[in-house]
Amino acid sequence: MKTETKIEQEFEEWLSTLGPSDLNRDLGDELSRYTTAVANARSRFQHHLSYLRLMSAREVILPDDLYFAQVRQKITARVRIKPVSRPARIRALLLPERMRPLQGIVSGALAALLLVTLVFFPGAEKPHKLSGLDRYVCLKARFSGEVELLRRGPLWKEVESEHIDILLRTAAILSSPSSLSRSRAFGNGGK
Amino acid sequence: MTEKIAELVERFKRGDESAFNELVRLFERRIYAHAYQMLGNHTEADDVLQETFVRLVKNIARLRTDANLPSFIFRIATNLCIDIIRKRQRREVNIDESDVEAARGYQLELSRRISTPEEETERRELMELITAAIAELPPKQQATIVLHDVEGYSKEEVADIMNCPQATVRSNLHIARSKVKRKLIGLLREKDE
Repeated sequence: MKTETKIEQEFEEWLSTLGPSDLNRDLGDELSRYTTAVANARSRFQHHLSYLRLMSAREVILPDDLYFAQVRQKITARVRIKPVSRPARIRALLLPERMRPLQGIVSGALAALLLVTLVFFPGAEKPHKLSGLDRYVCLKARFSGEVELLRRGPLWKEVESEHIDILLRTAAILSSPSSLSRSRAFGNGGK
Repeated sequence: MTEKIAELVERFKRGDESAFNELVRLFERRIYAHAYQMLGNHTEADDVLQETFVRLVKNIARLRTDANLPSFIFRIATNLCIDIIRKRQRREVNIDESDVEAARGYQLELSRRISTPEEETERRELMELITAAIAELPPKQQATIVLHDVEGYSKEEVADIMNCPQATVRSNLHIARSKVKRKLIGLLREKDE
């Protein structure tokens, strides 16, 4: 049973290899290898040959020379022949064929990467700014220290006297006669 | 022939226009026939023929071995045909009948110069039947069956043109043949008898 299946498979394989070029060949000897072992081998073979004859009968009637001359003119008008440059050859050698449709995308991505690098890191050779700072001090400690310095220094005295001056002026304005009469009016009339 | 092609390609790569023209002359008829076999009409075959050589000029740097030009050029043409078939299948409901009729009319005019009306009718009927059976296949199966069973290329050559493993060609061919045989069963029985 196994052998029959194997021969059957072999026959199928052989049939599938036949193409239009085999139509004019004598295939009798090769076919005789299968006729006894494979059921309907001859009819299946004939069926396949008929199929191939039918398919290869599909011939194209070519247009005349004038048509092809016109096509050549049209093609020549559309193209500009120039020598293939060395970079183009190298690129073609380096990039595998399947990658070629991605060539534009890859080039674009590389260009964008270069642009970003130049914009955000214009001087890559310069030391980073952080490396110029002193030992790390937390913000609260730094602020408190500076306030303390201000409190002790002459600047703090100046600010203090300014505040006192503002308070005195405000008290003077509020206690002026016009201001007092208005306050009373508010207190009595509610307006 | 292979040496001649390699020499022409080398000259063409150096910018020699006469070498390019010579290559066009060498391949134009085969490319036209191939495109016609795949697309079934003159208008689209004409477009593919021109576009193939235009793309050849643009992509010549990608050709690694000069002697491989035939596969390279047929790959360009086959891919263009596959694109057209895909577009056609996508808009199959909206196909403008007048376009089809115009294309048929032109083919008929071309054919009448060579064959008699009776032969032409019989040939066209047969061709339409096979074309319809092939047209129902997915584009890559169409390309495989046309290249192998109609134009007679070997599986190795088909794999090279289609840029895929031979196993893929074998499997595509097997599926495509089964489908086409099913469609042409009546005609095949007549032939068997």
